[in-house]
Amino acid sequence: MKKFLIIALALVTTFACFAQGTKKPKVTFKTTLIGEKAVFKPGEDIQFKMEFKAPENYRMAAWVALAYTKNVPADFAKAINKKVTGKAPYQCVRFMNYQWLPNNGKKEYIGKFSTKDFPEGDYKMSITGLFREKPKGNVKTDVYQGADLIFSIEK
Amino acid sequence: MKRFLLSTAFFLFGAAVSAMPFLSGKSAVIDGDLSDPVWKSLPWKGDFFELGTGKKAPVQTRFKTFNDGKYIYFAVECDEPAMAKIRKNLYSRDSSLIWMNDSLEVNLVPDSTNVLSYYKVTIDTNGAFSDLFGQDDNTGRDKFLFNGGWDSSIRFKTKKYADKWTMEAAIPFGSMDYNTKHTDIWRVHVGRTRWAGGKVELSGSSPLPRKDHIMPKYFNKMKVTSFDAKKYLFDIEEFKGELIRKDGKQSYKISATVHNNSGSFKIFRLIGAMVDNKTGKTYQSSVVINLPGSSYKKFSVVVPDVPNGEYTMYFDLATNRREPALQKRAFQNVSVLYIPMQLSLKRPAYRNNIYATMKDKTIEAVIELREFSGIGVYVELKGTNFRQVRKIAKSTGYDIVKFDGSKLANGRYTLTASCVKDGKKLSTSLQIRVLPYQKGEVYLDARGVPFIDGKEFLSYGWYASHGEPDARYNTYLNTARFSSLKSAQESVRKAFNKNQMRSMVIPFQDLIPGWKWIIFKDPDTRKKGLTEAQKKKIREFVSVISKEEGLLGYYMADEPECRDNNPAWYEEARELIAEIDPYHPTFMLNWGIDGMRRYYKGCDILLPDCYPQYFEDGTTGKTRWRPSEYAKVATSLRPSWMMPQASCWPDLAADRKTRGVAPDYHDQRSQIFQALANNIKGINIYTFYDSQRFTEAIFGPPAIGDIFLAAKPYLLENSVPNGVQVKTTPAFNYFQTGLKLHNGKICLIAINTSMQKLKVDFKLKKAFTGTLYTEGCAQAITVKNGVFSDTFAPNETKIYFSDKAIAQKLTPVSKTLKTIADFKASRKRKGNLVGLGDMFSIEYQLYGAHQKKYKADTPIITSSSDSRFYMTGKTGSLYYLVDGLRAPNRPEYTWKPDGKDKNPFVQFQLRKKAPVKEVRLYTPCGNLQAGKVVINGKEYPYENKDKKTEIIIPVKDKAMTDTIRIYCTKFSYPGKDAVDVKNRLLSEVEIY
Repeated sequence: MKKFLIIALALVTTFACFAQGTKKPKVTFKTTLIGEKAVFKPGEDIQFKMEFKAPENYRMAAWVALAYTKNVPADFAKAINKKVTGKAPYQCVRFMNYQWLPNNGKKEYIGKFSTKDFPEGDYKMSITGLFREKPKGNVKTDVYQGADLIFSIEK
Repeated sequence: MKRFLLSTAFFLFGAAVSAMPFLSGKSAVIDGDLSDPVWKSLPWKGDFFELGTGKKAPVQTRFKTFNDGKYIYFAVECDEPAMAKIRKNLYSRDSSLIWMNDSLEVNLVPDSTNVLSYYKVTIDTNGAFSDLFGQDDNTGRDKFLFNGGWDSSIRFKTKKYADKWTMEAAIPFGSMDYNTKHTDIWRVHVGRTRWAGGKVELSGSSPLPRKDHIMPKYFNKMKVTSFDAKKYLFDIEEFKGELIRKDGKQSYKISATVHNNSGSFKIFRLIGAMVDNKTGKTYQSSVVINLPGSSYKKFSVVVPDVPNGEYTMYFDLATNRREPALQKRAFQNVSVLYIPMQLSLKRPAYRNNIYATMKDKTIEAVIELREFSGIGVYVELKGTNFRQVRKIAKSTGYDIVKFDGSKLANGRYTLTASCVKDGKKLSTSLQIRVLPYQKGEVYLDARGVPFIDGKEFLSYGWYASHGEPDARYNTYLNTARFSSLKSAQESVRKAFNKNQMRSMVIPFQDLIPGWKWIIFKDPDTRKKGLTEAQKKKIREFVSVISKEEGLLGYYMADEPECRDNNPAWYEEARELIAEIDPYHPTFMLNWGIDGMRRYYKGCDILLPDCYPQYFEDGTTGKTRWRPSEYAKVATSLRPSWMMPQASCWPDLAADRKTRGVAPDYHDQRSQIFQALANNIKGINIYTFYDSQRFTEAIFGPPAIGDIFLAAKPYLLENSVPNGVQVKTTPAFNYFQTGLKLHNGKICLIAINTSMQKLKVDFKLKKAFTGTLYTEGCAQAITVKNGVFSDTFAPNETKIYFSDKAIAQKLTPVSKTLKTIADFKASRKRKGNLVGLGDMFSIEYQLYGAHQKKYKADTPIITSSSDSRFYMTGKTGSLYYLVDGLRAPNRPEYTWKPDGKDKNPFVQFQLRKKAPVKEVRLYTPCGNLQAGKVVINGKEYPYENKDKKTEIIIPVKDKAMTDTIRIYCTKFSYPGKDAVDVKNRLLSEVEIY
């Protein structure tokens, strides 16, 4: 009986620790195009506001825009001369690198990317925000949260 | 040589691909003025060709075109030296008559390789237009069926000048459908129909080999630069609307599933619109939606504040750009009608009337509550000195109450359903008439079967004329415009008393001599509602003629869609007539499916005419199964009858060479039994006076009439839904069947509408085991559990009966065919120098009107005078004297001199001299009593004192001649009726 109780206690402790280790904080993330328009000319920069709510010990560290192939014109990858990666239905085109943000305690940032070589058409660009513990970040506790930007490119 | 030049012209101009440039960011202001900078930058495409000749059109037209990726733009300039003579009658949207004005048509064929469909917009100088979608009819003859199921969203304007008129238009790409096979090579044709020159001139941008705009395979090819079909690969499915009520307000939710097959992410502005069909007012709302590539999702948009009415509902997907452009559209007609409490009758089934001869007089009412079930409903039936109530304690939302109508006195009753919800009273009523007996009263049951004096009635009769009394024929469609009420009554009484035929008459009678309409002039007076003068005339006529026992009903219109009549005029007329005369139904005749859909509310019974058109090479103008399609549409709208074709029409096919023929016995059976298999409840045949010169029409309809008499109860039953499964070898999708059950017995109608032999495996829904017999017991087929097989010759119709007694009464098909063949052969007697026998319809025309060269054996017949009919107005009567009908049943096939002719004769000129030994004259009732035959100046007198119908005049010296003149010096007629064979002089002449 005693042996059984010790094993049970060890198991419960292990699970508790495990649970504590995978529990991520809740982060809400929102993106909004800046200005009234949602239709841009090819080559224009798309500027947008990123707002988030996260626990006090988290900051927004970086963001990246990602084009899932089902959410952009069919000829997007070819037009910007980039490869399509991943498997359906999540095939995507990585057309930019993460943009790192200063650790200044802000709750909103302005993001921007160029539509150079983007073909005409409609877009639902996925913006992924990387949220990191502060003061010292830990990849294991990073949180990724996404939001969409919907716009069109027209000559 | 002409054909070579045309083909060459087509090759040179048809093979070359012109270009429709893509001008990004450019557009034109659509105002008819072609001075926009964009037009100035583009060259004209001309000269137009005269259709059918390949020559330059004498009056020229030219056009320009470009696209901006969203719209296709056209600028057309029409030279017109006679601007004052431009035809510009007023036509409504989508009228089939717009081409009868000076007009243009723009034809677009995205499917440039297969050309199975295309789009056509026709525009006149008034601004009226029709936009039609044409589809190949799948018979391999390059024939297209058009329907109004395309809304082009065209923006256009015309403008007139001193010596020309112009048209400017923009058509969105998104209004048309595409698939992955469509490329940027289209076929484009701009056509012009010009009337201002006095006669019709057809010209176009493509050199079409016939005088006909409907030749899309010959339209010139054009590269629509920048067009990419992938941008438009969307489908809209499960498109529907729903009325929403909240807080006393009414909105309309339009929804559909959108399929994005373009492979690209799409943002749409979804525009839901409700356009009032009467006022044109638009109620609209929009939302922005998006859909990933290769996915589908249901979307909806709510249009607020939509009042009750008749609407065209739109679900438009447009781009959500600076200037939204249509990408895809779905539309349909809907009724928005909110009735919180709805009251309707299941019984009686027709007009809410109870007739004295009805066996079942139960009043069975349905009360539907839209929003609030569970509350109490009170149903009251009230009349003079009568009141009965039914209470529903808790409504289920769909409740039924009954009253015993047999206990009601004659009179009008109001049936009212009411309830109280949240302190508010809801109430709805309808009127019921309990009618005193009137002899000959007509009503329909829930199947659409007519009853006359309480007995089932299966109509079988003729249009516009009929023959001698024949028990097979019981109806007559009388198209007369009567000169007086008395003549109308006499006409109805004569048909009934003498021929036992009940008449359909036109209710719109001016009642003036001369077969005229002034008050009811068509189409001038039928564009709006009934005028007071018209209402008065209808009351005057209907209130009297309705008393005639021999009246069957009212013939409201003959193909009103051809004259752009307003359907609402007929709806109003129908209501008025039903009020004045509850005892006789109204009938409407349309030539096509679109017409039926537009006009069905103007009648109680639809009576479409589906004329398949038959030609000497075995081809038909419509598919041989088209009667089934007509019947299905008609019966979905109203109880229906059908008017099959028994005459020859047209005389020539579109190639102007292949000759038309009257339908043979198989063709007649196919038409009529396809109709009956598809629940048609009556037949009226077109047409006696024209068809009785063809042997097939003399014997075929009576044989079919025998089937009607023997099998009436079966034929009136509705076919068992999905009652028959068939598998044919070889495979053929249009084999038609109808399974009728009556008192547990079977009548199976089966029609091979192909021109190939088929083996057919049948499986009946009714698990019948026994024997089925065809007509005359020609076949006895063993059936086990509803399964059997049989073979069908091309175009063969079989009717099987499980009741052998009925099959035995009928004549086998083979026997009727032999009768027809024998009679045909007998019409051309051996040795008769002038006999032509059974002729093609076109031959009567050609010989009679002396339009063309005669055949080598055709006599040239002339006369001192010729008293003609409507049918023989152009052909004359003379060639009916040599067609082998010695005792015809119509006066049109006979000759009579006119009343002023003092010395009547008929003369026969042979192609070459021949010895003449005998002349035979056939005279109805022995009317011809004396005369002389003159050959080579010598006279051969004759007498007919015994009033025989055949007069034989020997020519003893066997005169060698090519000219025989026959004088008729003494004759009389038994009566004065001009439309009676008995009052004609000669029916046939034979010269041996």
